[in-house]
Amino acid sequence: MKDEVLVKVEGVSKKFCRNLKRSLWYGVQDISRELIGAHKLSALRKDEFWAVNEVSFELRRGECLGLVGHNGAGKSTLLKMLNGLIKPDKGKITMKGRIGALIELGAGFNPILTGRENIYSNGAVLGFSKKEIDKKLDAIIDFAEVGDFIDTPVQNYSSGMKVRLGFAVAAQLEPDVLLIDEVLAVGDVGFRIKCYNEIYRIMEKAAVIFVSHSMPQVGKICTAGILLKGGKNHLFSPNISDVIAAYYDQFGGDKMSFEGSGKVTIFGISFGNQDNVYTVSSLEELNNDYHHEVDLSKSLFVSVSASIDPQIEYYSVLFSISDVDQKVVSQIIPPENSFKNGEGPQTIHIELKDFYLNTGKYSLSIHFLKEQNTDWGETLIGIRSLLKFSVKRDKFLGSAPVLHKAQWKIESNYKTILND
Amino acid sequence: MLVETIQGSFIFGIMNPSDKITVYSADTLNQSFLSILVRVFRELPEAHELGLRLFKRNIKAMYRQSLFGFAWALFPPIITAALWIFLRNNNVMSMGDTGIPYPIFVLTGTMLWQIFMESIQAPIKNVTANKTMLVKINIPREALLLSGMYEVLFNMFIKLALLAVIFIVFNQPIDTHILLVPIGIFAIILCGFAIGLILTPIGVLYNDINYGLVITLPFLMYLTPVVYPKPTEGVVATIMKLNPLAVLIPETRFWFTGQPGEAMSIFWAYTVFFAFLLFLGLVVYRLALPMIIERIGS
Repeated sequence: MKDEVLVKVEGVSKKFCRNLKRSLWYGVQDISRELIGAHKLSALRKDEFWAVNEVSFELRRGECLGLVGHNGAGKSTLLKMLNGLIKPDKGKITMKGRIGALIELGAGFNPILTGRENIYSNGAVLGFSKKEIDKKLDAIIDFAEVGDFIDTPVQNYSSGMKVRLGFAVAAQLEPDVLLIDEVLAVGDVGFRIKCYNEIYRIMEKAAVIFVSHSMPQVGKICTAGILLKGGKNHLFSPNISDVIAAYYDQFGGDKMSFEGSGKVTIFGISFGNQDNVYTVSSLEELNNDYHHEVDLSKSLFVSVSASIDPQIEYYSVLFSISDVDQKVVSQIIPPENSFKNGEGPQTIHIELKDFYLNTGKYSLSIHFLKEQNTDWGETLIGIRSLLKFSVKRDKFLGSAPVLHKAQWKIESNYKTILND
Repeated sequence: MLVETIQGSFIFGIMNPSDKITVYSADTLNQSFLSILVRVFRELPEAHELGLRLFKRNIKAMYRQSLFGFAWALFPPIITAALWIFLRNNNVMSMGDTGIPYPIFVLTGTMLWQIFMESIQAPIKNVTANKTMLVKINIPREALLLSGMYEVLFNMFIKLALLAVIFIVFNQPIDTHILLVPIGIFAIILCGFAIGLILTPIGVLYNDINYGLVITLPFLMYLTPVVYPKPTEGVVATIMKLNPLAVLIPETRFWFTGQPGEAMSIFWAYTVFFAFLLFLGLVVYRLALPMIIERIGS
């Protein structure tokens, strides 16, 4: 059962037309061709392009495929084909079992009607019979947490309540193939967690295809992934982290960005382990990829050379490390006493002996801050994504970006064993 | 007719859903007209379930936000009828002998015409109104047609109830011909619905169809013996030979008011013709809708 292939996509393509008038006219032509049983035109007509181009993959029960890519990469089009809303122009999709889609929550809701009445409309749209809904009604109302509002017209609901009600109905689906498109970005945290748990539950018995722009979400849910680029299957990997990394790479990494008053100029940087130092003497020389790999078993050295406005008396330096999502995961804070500005260029050296990052790609940001009365003042210069590097551990340990080292103690049979 | 088929085909379509294989392929499946039609009818129970639900939703929502409620189904034919009674009583218009009291004549006519109007507009109206749902969710698409059909039937019953009251007030005699009336109304709905359905695929893509209908329908009413009796000679009589409604509406009205019809055989010929047109419309709808969804986007 577990290895059963539920979704098989073979060389599927779909074309779209950029021009509305022409698109409608092609529609009339296509309908006529379909009616007389003529073959589909495989060539592109004027103003047409391949929105999805020769995409193939297979998905088994228990697997979750993340479908990622830029806006307009063809994700939604592919999902629409999987959902049977539109027909492929080339290729074939074969699916086994009941197909469920979490694409539009609360479809069929009418604002005038009460929540209870809308559960029935929405349920019918999703393919439930009245009897099935009767049976599940309490579970739905419970899950939605709308309380007394259930007999209030939906137009008086907050947007979060509407979404909750919509999801509560959709969560009753017991699909073999589940298609999800970005619906989880809404609702408050508590409800989102509930949604995830529900999806995990469904996932156990189903093959899931998940479209999202949120890489943390994709990373959390998906087992495999496809990166679409210009409608083509740019990368397929059974390892979702490869796909996420490739997705970020597509944006050319995060570009360096500057902030602050500019009273500090950075001109030289060196970074790396003692035997493998990467040095540049100007910011222009920095390359914008993650080639530089840090060895965790050795100390990491970072030096920054800067010229500081002589009017600044005391300053401080803060390093931040961000993951590929641009989220700051750790910071290196300066000592209590700030640095006194000397004459000429200053070079700041740090040595990091213990470095607890997990496998992944990171970027280093630096901030020079003016120090006044032991408080941090204005930002003299801040450079985000100054330098990119990667960390590789021998094996993948957990999913958090920072791994703490600890003293472990295991007690058994009243005998204490200390374990370093 | 549809309702009968729905119950009839309940025997089909029971299988374990987790063994169901769904295939979406670019290849034009070389299906015959008949096999598509059979499939459409086989899947009607599912569409009925949703169609009924959408119909109930629409009706509830429509009347909950209205003071006059059901009366709105009656206003258009009553106003038209009242206008014509007024014009005729003041001798602004002269028209032939209607055989029955004019108010009965014109009210029956406008009611039947209204039923036709609603039928022809129902398919496009319902598909257009649910566009956003169609492009996002895979629903049995015939459900939209059915919910439109149920709305037409619902409004028809309100009209018939009013007619019954009027008949009693005017002491209008009826006879066994009244038994033919359901067939007459059925044919009128069939005619409107079939034409509307055939126009739907293009009508959803291009607004022109809807604009065109809004303009032509009132005009068509005056080329149909709705407010006046059918002329026997002259240019108008010739034009009416081409107008199926010039048979369906007067014929049904005759049966209503206890008179034998005049054109039974033509009536049946039209009914059969529109039944085929409806079948054709259903097949076209089934084949064309994925392509329409692709063109109207999200």
